[in-house]
Amino acid sequence: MADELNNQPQVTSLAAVRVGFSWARVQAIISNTLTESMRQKIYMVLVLVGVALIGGSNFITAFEFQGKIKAVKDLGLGVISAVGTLLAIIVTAQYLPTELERKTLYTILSKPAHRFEFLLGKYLGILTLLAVTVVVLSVIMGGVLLSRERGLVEEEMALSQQFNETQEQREKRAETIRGQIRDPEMIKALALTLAKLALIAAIALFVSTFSTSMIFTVVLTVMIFLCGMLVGNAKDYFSEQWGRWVNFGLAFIPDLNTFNVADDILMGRKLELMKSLKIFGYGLFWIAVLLFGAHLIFEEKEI
Amino acid sequence: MQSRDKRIAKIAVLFVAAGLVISPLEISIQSDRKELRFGGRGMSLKLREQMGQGLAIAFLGGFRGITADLLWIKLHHEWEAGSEKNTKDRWARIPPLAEAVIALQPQYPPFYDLVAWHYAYNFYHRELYNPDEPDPRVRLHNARHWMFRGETVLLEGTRNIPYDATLFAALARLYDDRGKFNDPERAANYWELSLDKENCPAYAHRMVGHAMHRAAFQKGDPQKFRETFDWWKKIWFEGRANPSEIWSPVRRGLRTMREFCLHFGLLGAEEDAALAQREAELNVPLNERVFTHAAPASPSGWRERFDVWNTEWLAPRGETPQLWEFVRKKVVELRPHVTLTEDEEDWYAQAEERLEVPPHDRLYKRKPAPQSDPPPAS
Repeated sequence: MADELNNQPQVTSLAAVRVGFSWARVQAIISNTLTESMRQKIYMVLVLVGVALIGGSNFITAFEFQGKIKAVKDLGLGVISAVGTLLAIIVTAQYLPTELERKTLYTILSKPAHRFEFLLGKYLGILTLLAVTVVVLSVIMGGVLLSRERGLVEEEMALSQQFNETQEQREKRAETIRGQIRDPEMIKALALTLAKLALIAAIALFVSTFSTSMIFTVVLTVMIFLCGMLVGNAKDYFSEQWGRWVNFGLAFIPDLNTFNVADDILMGRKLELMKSLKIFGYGLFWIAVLLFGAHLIFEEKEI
Repeated sequence: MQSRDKRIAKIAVLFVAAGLVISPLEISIQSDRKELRFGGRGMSLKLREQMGQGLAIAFLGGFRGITADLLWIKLHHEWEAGSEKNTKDRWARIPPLAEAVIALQPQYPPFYDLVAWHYAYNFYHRELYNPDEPDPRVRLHNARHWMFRGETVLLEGTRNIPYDATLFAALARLYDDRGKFNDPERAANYWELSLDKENCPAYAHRMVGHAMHRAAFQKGDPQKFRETFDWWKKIWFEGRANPSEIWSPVRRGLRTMREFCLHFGLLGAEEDAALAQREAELNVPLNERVFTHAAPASPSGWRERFDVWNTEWLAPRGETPQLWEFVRKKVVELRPHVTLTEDEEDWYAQAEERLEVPPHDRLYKRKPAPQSDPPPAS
């Protein structure tokens, strides 16, 4: 009897089957997240505001009689960073609570899909959304800068003529303007801005795994964001008062100021590739930690 | 321990461990930033007060550039408003705004340059001609206070941006200004410091010569004439490869210094001849040569020589009488070779009056005043 039972084929429930990690499932979640995010009103509004501000940045130069390119670049990069930060916080914060509220999460997780796949898909979807936004706004900023190029070169030429400068000196002036407008270092500044946005999105995702409402997630993420912006100052202050070892007490807060290199790059400073890679490495490390933390919480969360 | 507590403990351990693991990289990034001089001054109560609430939030959000730009526009607006109405209270708002802008972006030279210009020129002028202050000594004292504040801003800028020539050149101009520091020797030093830096103006090397030239006249020290001669000589011979060089000021400076050096025995005949030979080897056009004893061939050549010495004669003078005797002698020597209009002579005579040249030393006469019609008989 016992042998008969042993020889019978094993009937296992679907839930007990250990399904391996599938990139295809993650991709499906990414594309779904991206489509869904782009259809949201908040996304459209923020992007339109960004486009309007960058497009209108030419007007700010009317108030500046010096540093006209700097003003356009400052405003452009500032808007990209602001719009990106708002998107990273708001769009990420609403996903888990909304999915739970609409009960769509149950359908996805019973497919079967790992909870980690769900988290990763959501995160990468938001990251793609941020990347698309940064690229679109950067292209518009590039267009605004290029549209200013001709006028500024002509202004410089007129000035050069006034000073009776040689052809070579005139060309140098024009080249300086072109160099400021087509500065390849800007790409590094934009890439590091995107890295900062990716980190903010990871923070928001981590918070949303244990929060019960979108408002709580947004508020807490904004607070962590401000702490991240100020932690560098705090470390400087505390290390002056009590020594460097105090900094280890604040080490668990990611220093978001590390990514703020755009202002200095705009002023013509160069950031070596190795140094930018270090900052990327720092960002990636914290993103990995936050995703892992989010996974630890979400894996055991009772839904 | 409950499963929820365990989870919290796990997360806490994860973050503390991650913080400790990443600390060395974070410290390395911070030292890179300090080395590259990235980022401005951190938030402080003073900076917060200068910014106002809205901009302080923008600053905390990491929008340092926009915050600085908006404060800069506000500063410019205060300056314009104060200029229009000539009211002191508007301009009094400029210094705290300027401090905030510089603190936010200490790596941007135009901020220092323009703030220093406001202090050392606009504020200076306003205090010097302040109608509310009757005592001229107090007015001058107040004006000089702003001149020194302008200098302080520029010196701070040169310390924060040592790789850029803009502020070194601005400082040199301020030192060179006759109405301000009138210290051409320091000006020459700063022009020279600007030479190997980014954004150095194309004329900076000539400005070194001009400032040295003025310093030599001011001090009346023969050694300074030789140093200035050597500087102009260097540009004259070594700058031949530079197609954009403007030769007339170099030639004029070199010619003046050569004659001084010959006069004071700082340039021997042999060296002079060797330099003439070098000029010939470099195929310098005959009418442009400096190291030749031949008289200028054309009237414009004579005029150029006359202008050089006449400019020195009519420049504010130092305390070296033998120097001015020599300059006077050169002007007297060249005067027969040029034709001056009546207006020119009148203009030069006025300059002599302004410089309080003793009447027996004067070289020019004022134009006679036009005869006015006799008043009608009553």
